[in-house]
Amino acid sequence: MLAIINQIFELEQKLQTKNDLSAERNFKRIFHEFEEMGYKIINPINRKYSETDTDIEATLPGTQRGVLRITRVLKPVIYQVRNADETSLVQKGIVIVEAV
Amino acid sequence: MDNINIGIDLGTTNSGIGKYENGKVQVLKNPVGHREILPSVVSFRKGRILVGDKAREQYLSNAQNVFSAFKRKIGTNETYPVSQQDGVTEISAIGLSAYVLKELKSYIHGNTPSAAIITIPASFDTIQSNATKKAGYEAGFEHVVLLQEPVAACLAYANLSHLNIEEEQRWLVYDFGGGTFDTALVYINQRELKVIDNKGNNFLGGVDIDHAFIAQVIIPRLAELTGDAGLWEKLSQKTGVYEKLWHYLNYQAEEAKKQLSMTPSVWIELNFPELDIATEFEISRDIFNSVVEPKYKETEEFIRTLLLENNMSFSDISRIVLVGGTTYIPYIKDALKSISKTIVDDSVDPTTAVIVGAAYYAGSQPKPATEKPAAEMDAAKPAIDIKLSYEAFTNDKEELIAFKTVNPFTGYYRITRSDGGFDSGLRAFDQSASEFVMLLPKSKNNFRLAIFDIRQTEIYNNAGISISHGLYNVTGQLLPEDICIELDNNDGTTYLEPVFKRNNILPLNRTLYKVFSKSVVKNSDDKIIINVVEGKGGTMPGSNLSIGYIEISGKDISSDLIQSTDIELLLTMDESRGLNIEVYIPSTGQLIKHSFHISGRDVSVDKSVYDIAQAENILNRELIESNKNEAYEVSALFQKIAADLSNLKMELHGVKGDNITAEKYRLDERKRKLLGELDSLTRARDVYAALDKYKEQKEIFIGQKEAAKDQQLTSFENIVSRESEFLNSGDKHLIDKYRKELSVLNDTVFVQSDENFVGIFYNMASRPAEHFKVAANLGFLIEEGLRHVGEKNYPQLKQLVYSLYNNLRDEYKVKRNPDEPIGGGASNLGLR
Repeated sequence: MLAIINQIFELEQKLQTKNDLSAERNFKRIFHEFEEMGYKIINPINRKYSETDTDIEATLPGTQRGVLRITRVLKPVIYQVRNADETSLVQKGIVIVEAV
Repeated sequence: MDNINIGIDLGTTNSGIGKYENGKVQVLKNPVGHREILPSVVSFRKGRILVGDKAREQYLSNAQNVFSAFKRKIGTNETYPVSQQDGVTEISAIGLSAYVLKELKSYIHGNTPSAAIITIPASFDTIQSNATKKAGYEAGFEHVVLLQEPVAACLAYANLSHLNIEEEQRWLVYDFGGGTFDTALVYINQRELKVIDNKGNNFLGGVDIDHAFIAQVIIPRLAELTGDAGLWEKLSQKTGVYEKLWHYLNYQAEEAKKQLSMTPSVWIELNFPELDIATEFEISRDIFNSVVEPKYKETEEFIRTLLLENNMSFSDISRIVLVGGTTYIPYIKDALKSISKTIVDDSVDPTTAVIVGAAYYAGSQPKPATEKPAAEMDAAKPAIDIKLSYEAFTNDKEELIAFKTVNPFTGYYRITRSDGGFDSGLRAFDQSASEFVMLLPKSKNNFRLAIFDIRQTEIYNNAGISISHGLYNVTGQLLPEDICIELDNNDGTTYLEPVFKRNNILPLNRTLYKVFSKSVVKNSDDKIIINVVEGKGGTMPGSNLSIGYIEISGKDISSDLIQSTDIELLLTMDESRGLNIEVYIPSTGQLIKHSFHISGRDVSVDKSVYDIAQAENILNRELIESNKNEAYEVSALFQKIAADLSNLKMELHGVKGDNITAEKYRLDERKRKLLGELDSLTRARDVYAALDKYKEQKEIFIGQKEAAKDQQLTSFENIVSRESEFLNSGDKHLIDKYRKELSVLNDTVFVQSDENFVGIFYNMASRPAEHFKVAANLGFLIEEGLRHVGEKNYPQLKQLVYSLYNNLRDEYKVKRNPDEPIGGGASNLGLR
């Protein structure tokens, strides 16, 4: 299932970089279905980098001038909700962080 | 006497921990991030100590305070300078290793272990071995036993593959990890395992293959595409946008490498808008192999030298066992097979083989008798009194957890989130501290605060810190009642499904995906009704206050609406409880928007008449039922409601064209009151009946649990784990939804066993001929069936039952799929 989620996520990103928003509704719908199945999918793009966020695997720049932000998301963060009290991280987000 | 039971692989690049229990080994997962492998990296930054993935991330940004591969320096006098706010302190490789060991120790639930097996490379001398032991003691283990890594790997293979070693053998351990290569010759017989000799290179690993892959395969293609011949040089300098490209290519190379381990070729797709790179190309495994080959050849040289120095050849080796992630590459396995002509064993996960072996060994080693009893250990722990403060409900993305010790105290703390998405790392504090914690939206976030003494031994923990995000809030605007949407049942009646739950914080929004329960022809008078009400889910729709009402008639649509096609509804409610409904119909591409404010109440007389008609149907059934049961008092109550509704209906017809007076609002109010009375008379009983039916299905499942497959068991457990949510909901439709899911599951399990078809066969055979479409060959089929039963030929019987079932007239078939409509509901309400 994670592989399918990642593929759909990548597909959405690909269309977005081409400013093609024609399938946005369909993506929203698909992600809604994933959520119904208990997957919480988070796109951490533009999030401020924090070393305490263990839900992402980041590559940081060598120089640090400015605020560190996530500028590219290669894989989204995925949590699996088993019940109201039990949620667990099933995939770390893979991201690139830049000083902006 | 207890055994040690805990085995640790303290590696140069990665480490891990395993536990032996009841004859089995479990590789433990990091509660933060849920991984089995912990990078052996420690970082120090602004008073925060991080171990593992997060420390490794800072490799470039905080290079002077990030330490890795310190295992190479263990047992030397070399120390590492750590720049902290209060000056520079020195830390040894032993101290750094102790941090890794402590981190691994935190993976264990329950009692903290006092002893462990720790693995070391076969090449370690006495000083290095003792230094590793010391790191174990510093990490809080009272008893440490060392085990050589190749021995651990062989143990894992021997145990997991249940090998029966009757004569003496020599195995070769081939350990190709992320950053190091080691190979060892191991002697093995019925009783013992020992390392004869070993060789290795601390600077040869999978990372070198990744880099060579980028340099030799990806860069030439990119250089050609961009026309930039100096691309590799710029990339090597890793500055500006080229640094980002370098990270991006590393990720792509890693993914391609994994893929090529499974498929003969891979498409690499590169999108890097910053340098106008958008390309894709196919790489075959042959091309990848040409990159792997030189690195592999280096490892082969080590093996050949090792064998030569021990006067052996490949024919003396009975088995080559694989360790380390790089051995996943098929070329390496094939090349080893081809040079050695012996068994190349990859039956154990090479990334955890050493952990598994260490844990097996730990399961056989007794703990020393000097250990203190558990009670005494607990008593020895200093008591610490903590005052804690935090917001339990919030709408912010992060919250502050603050705490202080009642008495003066200096030590460390660590806060982690139970889902694995947050870890403060280890931080020093003096009596009081506070930490901003990141929250997972729309969830209950559970945190654990642990306090450590100055030696970093845990002395206090509180796992009960719960912060709910966006669920409840005492200071914000609360929704006082459920907001529900009215949906069609399959039998022509309607029910309420909650959209927003009571006590949620405003503003709220939600998208619903539904299908049309009926078709509407363009320009016809047919209509789809969308009705949003304020009231509890599970109550009678007509008894609640309608706060948003839309009719979409045949005149409003640009083409026909077809039954079972999709409809999307976006409902938003702002802080002042204004409701917006956005309806999107994908098949026609139409978007209909409506805003409602509760003050501008919208009442449809037609809808009121429809609600009353529904209630009358229920009343008729209830009257028959109560009279049959001689419950005359209840019957009298139903009769009174029926009479009042009948009058109301007359009055409603009278105000149909009246858009001036407030009469229709008054009548709507009366309708809701009467329907509310009816609802309270029947609901408790209906919920009770629904509960009964649910329990019945649950028992059926438990009765045939043995026959269920793993996936079916998981589905069952999923339903049961949500019981607290629906059994107490008072909503018969919700309970019914889960009952139906269970019923489908039960049917699936039931038909899995061919034997169960005997009962179904007898049921079919006892039916009159008019139940079947074609009755001509019934007699023959039944005779055949009886013969199959007699011969216990159940697979044949199953086929026969299917053909009998297909021959049944539709009205006698039992519909099991809850999504499948039964009969044609005459409702003109819109959604199902």
